[in-house]
Amino acid sequence: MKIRNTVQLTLAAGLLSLLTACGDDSTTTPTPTSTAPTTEQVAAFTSSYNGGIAALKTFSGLTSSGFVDLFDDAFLDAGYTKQALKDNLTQESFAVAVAADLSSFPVATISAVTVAGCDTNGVCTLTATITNADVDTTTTTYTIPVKFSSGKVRLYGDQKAT
Amino acid sequence: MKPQFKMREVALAIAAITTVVTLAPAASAADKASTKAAGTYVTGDFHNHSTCSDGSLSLKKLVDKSVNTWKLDWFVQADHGGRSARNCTLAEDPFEPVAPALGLTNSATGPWQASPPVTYPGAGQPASALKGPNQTWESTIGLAAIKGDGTATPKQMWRWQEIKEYQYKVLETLGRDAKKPVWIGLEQNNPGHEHTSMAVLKGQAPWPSTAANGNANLQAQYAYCFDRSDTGTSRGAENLWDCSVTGSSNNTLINPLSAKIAPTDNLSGTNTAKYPNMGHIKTLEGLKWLNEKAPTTSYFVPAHLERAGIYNPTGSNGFNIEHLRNFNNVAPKIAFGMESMPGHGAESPRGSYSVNSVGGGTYGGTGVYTAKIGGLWDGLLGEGRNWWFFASSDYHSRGTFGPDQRETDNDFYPGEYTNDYVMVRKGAGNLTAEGIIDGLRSGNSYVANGQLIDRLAFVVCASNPGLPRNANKALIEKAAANAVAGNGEVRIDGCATMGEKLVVRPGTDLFVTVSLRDPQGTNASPYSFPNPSLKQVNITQPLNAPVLDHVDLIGGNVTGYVDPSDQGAYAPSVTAADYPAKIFNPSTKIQKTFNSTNWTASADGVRTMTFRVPAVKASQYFRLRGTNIPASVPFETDAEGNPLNDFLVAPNDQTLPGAIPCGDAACPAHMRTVAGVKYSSSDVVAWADLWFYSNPVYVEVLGSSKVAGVK
Repeated sequence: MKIRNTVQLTLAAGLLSLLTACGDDSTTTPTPTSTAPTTEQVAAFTSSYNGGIAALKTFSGLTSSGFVDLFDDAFLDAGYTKQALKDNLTQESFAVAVAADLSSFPVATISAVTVAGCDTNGVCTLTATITNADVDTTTTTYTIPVKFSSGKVRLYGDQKAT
Repeated sequence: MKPQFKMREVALAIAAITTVVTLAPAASAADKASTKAAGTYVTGDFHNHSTCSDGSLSLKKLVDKSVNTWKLDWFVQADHGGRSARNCTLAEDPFEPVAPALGLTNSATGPWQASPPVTYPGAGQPASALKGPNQTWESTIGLAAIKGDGTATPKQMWRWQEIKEYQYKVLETLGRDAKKPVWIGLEQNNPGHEHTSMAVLKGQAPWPSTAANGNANLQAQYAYCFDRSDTGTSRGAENLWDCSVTGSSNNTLINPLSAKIAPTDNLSGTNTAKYPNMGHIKTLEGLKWLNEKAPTTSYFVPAHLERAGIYNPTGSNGFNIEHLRNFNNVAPKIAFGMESMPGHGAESPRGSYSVNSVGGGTYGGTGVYTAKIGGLWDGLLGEGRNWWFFASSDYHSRGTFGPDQRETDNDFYPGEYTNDYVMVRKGAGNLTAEGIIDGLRSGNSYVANGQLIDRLAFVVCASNPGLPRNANKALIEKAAANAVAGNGEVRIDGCATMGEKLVVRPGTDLFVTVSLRDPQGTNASPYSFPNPSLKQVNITQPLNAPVLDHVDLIGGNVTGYVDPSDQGAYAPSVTAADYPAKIFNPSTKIQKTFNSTNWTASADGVRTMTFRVPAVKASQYFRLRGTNIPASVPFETDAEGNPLNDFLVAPNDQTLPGAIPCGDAACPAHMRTVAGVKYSSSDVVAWADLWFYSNPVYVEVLGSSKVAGVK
């Protein structure tokens, strides 16, 4: 079983490389703006993000380029980069495929999202309520920098290396 | 017949056993929230004594103290096997004079004193010789009613008869009166070893059952068949018990007269020079018997397992790692843990661990098998076993004090000082004994002394790759804080708690989150003078108002079960001199220390903290310990915060000075006093030096070692 898993994960890593290469083609070059996003733009981000998070329980969700596009190319969050995000999602997709007993990870939805305080680079602060309702509902708030450009809100991260 | 069982043969026998006994995952479900019914952590104790063995109280008073005065949610009365002369079913004589109290009163503040105990003093006073439960069976029921062999005067009753015909019904009634699960077990005198806390629940009908036909027949039979001190040959008189195990090759060792493994020249069936290792084999037969008779309604937890020294193939001493492996291999659903934090917390030496114990004493009240980072417990956890940590009060008496006095120089009452907190997922139903045993087996439990903490949520969660790190952390910390507020657990997919495992791919980030409550106000200690241990480092803190100083997150790698055929690894040669330094899992270390500088504190005493593990590569486990004692407190902790040997603080030779002066004017009179100097000793030592321990959370990484003991 150990050898089998190793082989499967090696295959997964190989496929990950291919998928990552394909995903790179979809990367856009956003144009920064100093204005805050509209309510509709924030709602669009919230809807896309919640849909993407919910879909992470599936292979297609884990391999969705649309979800990755919700993260700015310069995304950096406690050392976690956009490339690391892609790697994690792809590795997770193949692990799900090969290991029936793989644990899930906590999923959540965000609501009451506001985006404000945008600077001249289009970096703003997103404040949201995050909720997990697997069994006992857990709700709390958090904030995170986002980048608003080309009419879209994307996660930007805390820009810290650790 | 002169069987010679060398340890290699025993190990090979176990290897054979493991080919037929399924190493079934014995712990509860992993991290699927929907599989976890709502539950709460409840407190109880499964190892305490009455006058039916070597205790000092009646069943009635012992149960009353445990479930009423100290408010335990459940209780197991467990006297030693063997035989005894006294009738513990009789209550104390209320007309006996009470020993003078020392003027100590209860605090009316703090969560532990919301309903101050009222029995200081109270009804049912200490019974002197030939009064109350100290009266003999012979004088109270008559010689003719005492069954089985024996010639002592007065005649002693075998424990099996006490359990079956007298103790069980009294306990069933007391539990039903208190509306709490109370049942009977046994502190088994193990053949080949010292002691084990065990019980066979099957047949018993403790509250909330109202059945009229409850009985402890199987528990009684086990006592007859497998207790080292039951040297009787009567087969339980009219019961005509047979102690064989279906299909066991060891049935050939059974003496036809007694129908148990008890050669005529070794009626206890234990290890002797002529029969080396026979006792261990007999103890394993007992586990196989439990597997056959009560596979899900019994437990077997070796008690104070360092106390009697290392294992002796020709004596009845302690337990080495291979014996615990054998127990767990033979009966993983029954032998799932150990009592490495002993009772007798106020005794000198602490825990009744002398210099002859493994490790030469306790360490912060805990045996070296657990207290040593990388020690025996970490060795077993490093295999991925379901081997959990428990504690007990092992109540016998208050020593030189009366049973209704606050001071003690021997034992604490169940619930007074030591608490096992066990998750019982009972939903909206009543607490049941079956549910409690399931909870014990699950490993979802922790132990705290001196009410250092009274709530704990401890989870390891896989990071959601699509969530920002601070959102992941905020969500999990909030869930943990909610769990603490409700005395429950985190129920989120992708989060595993104590006794469970998380299965993740390599490269997954983990969040290890802890939320706990340091109860505010005072604990059950009767002393409000400054903690003498902390006084050494200029901290003034009332002894009855301890403050959690720090929490250590301890972790080590899991490398899989050791094969019994690999004798050198499975049963490594050890001597007493190897301890306390002996390391079984060199990968284990303190991963993170949390304290007031890096945890989030709230006014109600809740402390929440998180440790992130980036890109996990290998299977591993995490466990917690915490204390009120900072690092580098003389005679208490080393520079890394590890507990030091308690024997050096208060040796059992009372003519020797202690190590820590107790100089406050309020230090009680019973403190060790040498050359006019009072030293911290007996109960003050215990209240001064408090620790808690959690059971582990496992992480199994795909492609790395399996955590086979947990499903």
